[in-house]
Amino acid sequence: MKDYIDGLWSKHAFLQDNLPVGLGYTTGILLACTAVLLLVSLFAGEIVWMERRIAGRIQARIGPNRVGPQGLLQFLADGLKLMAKEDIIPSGADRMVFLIAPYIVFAGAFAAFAAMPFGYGLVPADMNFGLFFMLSISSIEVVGVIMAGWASNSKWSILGTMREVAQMISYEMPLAISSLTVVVLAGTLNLTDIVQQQSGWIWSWWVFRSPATFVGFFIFFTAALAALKRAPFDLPEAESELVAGFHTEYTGFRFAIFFLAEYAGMFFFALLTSVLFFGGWHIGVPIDLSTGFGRALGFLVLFGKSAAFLSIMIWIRWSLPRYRVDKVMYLCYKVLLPWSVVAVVVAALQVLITGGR
Amino acid sequence: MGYLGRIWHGVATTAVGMKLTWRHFFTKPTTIQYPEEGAYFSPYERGLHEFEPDKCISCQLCAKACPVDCIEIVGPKLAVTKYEIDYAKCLFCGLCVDPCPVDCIHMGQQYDLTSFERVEGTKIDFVKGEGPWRTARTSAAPGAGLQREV
Amino acid sequence: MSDAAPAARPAVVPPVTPGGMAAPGGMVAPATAPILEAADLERLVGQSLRTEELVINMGPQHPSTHGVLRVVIKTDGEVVTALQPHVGNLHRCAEKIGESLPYYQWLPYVDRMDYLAAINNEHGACIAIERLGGIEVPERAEYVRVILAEVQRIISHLMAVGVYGLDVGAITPFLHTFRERERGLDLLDHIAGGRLLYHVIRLGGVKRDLTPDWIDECHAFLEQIERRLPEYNALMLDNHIFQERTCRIGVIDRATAIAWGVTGPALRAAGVDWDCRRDAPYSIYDRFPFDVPVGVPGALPGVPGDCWRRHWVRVREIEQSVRIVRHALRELPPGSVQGKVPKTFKPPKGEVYLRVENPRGELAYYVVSEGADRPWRMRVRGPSFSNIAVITQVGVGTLIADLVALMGSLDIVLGEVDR
Repeated sequence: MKDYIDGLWSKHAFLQDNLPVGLGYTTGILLACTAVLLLVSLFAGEIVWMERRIAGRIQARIGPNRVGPQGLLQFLADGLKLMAKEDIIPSGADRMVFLIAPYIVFAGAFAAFAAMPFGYGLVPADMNFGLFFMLSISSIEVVGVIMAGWASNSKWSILGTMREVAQMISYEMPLAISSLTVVVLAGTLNLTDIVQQQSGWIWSWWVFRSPATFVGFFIFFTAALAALKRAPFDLPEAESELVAGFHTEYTGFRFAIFFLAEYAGMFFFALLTSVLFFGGWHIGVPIDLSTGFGRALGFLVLFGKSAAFLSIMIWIRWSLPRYRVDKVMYLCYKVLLPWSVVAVVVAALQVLITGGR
Repeated sequence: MGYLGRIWHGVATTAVGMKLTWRHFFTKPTTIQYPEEGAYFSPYERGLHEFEPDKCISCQLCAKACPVDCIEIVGPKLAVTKYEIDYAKCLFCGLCVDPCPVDCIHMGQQYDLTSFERVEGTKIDFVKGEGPWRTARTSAAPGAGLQREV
Repeated sequence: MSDAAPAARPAVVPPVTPGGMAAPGGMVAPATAPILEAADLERLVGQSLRTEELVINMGPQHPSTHGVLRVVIKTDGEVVTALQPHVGNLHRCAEKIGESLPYYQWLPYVDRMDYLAAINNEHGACIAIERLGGIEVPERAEYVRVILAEVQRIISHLMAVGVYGLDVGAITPFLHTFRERERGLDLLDHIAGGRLLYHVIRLGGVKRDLTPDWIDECHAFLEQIERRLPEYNALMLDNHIFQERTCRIGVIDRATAIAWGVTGPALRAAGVDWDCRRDAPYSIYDRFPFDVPVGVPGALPGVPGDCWRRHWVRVREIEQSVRIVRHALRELPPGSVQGKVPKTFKPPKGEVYLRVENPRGELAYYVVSEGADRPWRMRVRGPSFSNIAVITQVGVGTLIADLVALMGSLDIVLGEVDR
């Protein structure tokens, strides 16, 4: 986007004479962030609709279909309901921490979209270390979760929070390492370059190019499900229903923020999976996507792929029982982590054997 | 099961379960759009009572048969002036229907005892025929047989 | 400080293990003497990591559908060290009311005790009172009673199986079993007039006869059950995650089960081959051949007496009930469905203790009559009462997550626990 603003400034003398280019950068960034925020929030609301409809059909029933056409505006009804609820703050709670925690989780979930390419050239900030940026910023959510659990002033709540945090940070390891399989083969952390290397036919997508990335995809997807605390890894959330959990003391709008952050996280990982492993905005046929029409097509293709992965996440959630917490840890440290390391080693060997990239 | 065996078992059984739910996703749902489409109720359903004051001979047999004594009948023989059932107590057991010699008390198909107004008391006087519950929906027509296709 | 520290330090210091004893066979060359002595370390660590026992109240309101049960749990971290169920929140004085009502007027109260298996309750109560008063029940009525009771057993086990999936996290099979359950409830609704509380088995027979329509629909229902059972197994019994959650968890072995009076699927899963329908036959159950699933060590996952085995026993019992219903429908004799009952029923002085097989265990009625038209004592032994008591022993040492799995697998109904 920086290039676009620079281009604007160089083309129009009026801008060059009267306004500093820094103002252009700032305005551009603000507009881009607002656009991303709105887009992601809207889509997160629609993911809620998708989840409830798909869950309904899997369970031999109709999902919500009354609010709006086919129930598409259900998230507005849910949001209105949550906003109308009474805002309760527990009496012994650490007030400042309690109030800030949801917004930290929200910030961690949404800030990671800054480096996410939504299409050819449609990146809010094209960073050379984009993948690293995204994985580290999304870890800020963990801090927010700890704050929320601590501020609830309930002994059981803090224990439940510790379990959730242990799960979230443990699974970030196989997540990062399995995404490294693609990075080692692509040679860059820049997401736009990773996608551009998948242009061409469908077998140039990273998931098909190497057994390391093939295995890496499954590990990445499973680790993403666990990092999002989605079933089958949602024991801290559901078990703690009986006693407490980090967001038990939150009501109304604050709970809506946690909820939105969770679904934004789902969208984030679905997009990341399509970008890293499944060709991003390419459709599997080598055509030029840099035209205006091509960009729009690429945007739609990327959304379609992420919708497919979201459907798979939802499908998995409603088909499987929950793991117990110690089994979740076993899965991370004894199954996913070793195999992701093996995958990275195989990817490195592949680069060595095929003589550079 | 060894280490690899457990991984394989986990993946295989997960795949079987997911194949099943995939198939369910494409089958027609079995639920109905509730207020518009009616649910199934038996012709012998024990719902809200239906009372015919003209037939009642005020013999008190139904009041004696009731386990919770919720029926109150006032009036001389052959001319009932008040027939009140207290629905806070009524078990909907149907024991009042059997002893009636003239067949004037039945249990109908109305199951819905909700109302949009605050109900004052829970007693219905069937001779007067008043009460918000009479305005709620009814279900399948009496005499309907079992028709289900799943 | 322990005795192992020598007065004069040797040139090479052996590595110190907890307890201060020198580790056998290992000698390392030290850079310096150790900074903290072992005893100091224990003292410091012990002070800052002081643990407490946490007392948690799993309150009367549960997310799962067990009912109003309050369990007070003492935990040490995740592990349960003691637990005490507090029952009585649903006590409705059914037994006392039975002493003040004539026998036929008490029957509607019987449904409401185990409200998920009402027909089996009614069946037991009617047989007990009939034995007391010497009432004859016609053949056809006996067959209809058995058919209804076994259909009710299928429905109740479908609920138990589905809801257990919900406790463990598999939300989808719950709705699938309820789809079949709806069909069975419509079946019972057609003949009885109610979906959950039937009041259809009366003294001397059955209130209403089966029609050919009903019999056809019943056959269709049974076929659908048989078709769907493998689907439930695919999502639950055979699933790896379900097995990890329930195998070897909450093991109630033979001795514990017999000592605590556990009955029903929990007893059979522990390896005790006892089913009241076969071993203490009532009604006409001796005419129907059926297998009784018992948990024995073998090729199945887990050990006998664990949660998985109890779930497996319930699924097998559904199959056997289907078999019984088919047999009974085939052999249904013609005739009336109501026997002769005197207008004022006054059974002679005496008492009767009758045990029947509820889907949850051994339900028993102890009726004492003093010759009046109402009983002198009407005592009901609810199987869930004894089943829930066993968690005070078996629950100790489990994790809290496993406690939920254990309580769900016992399949208790609070109406029966509290009456």
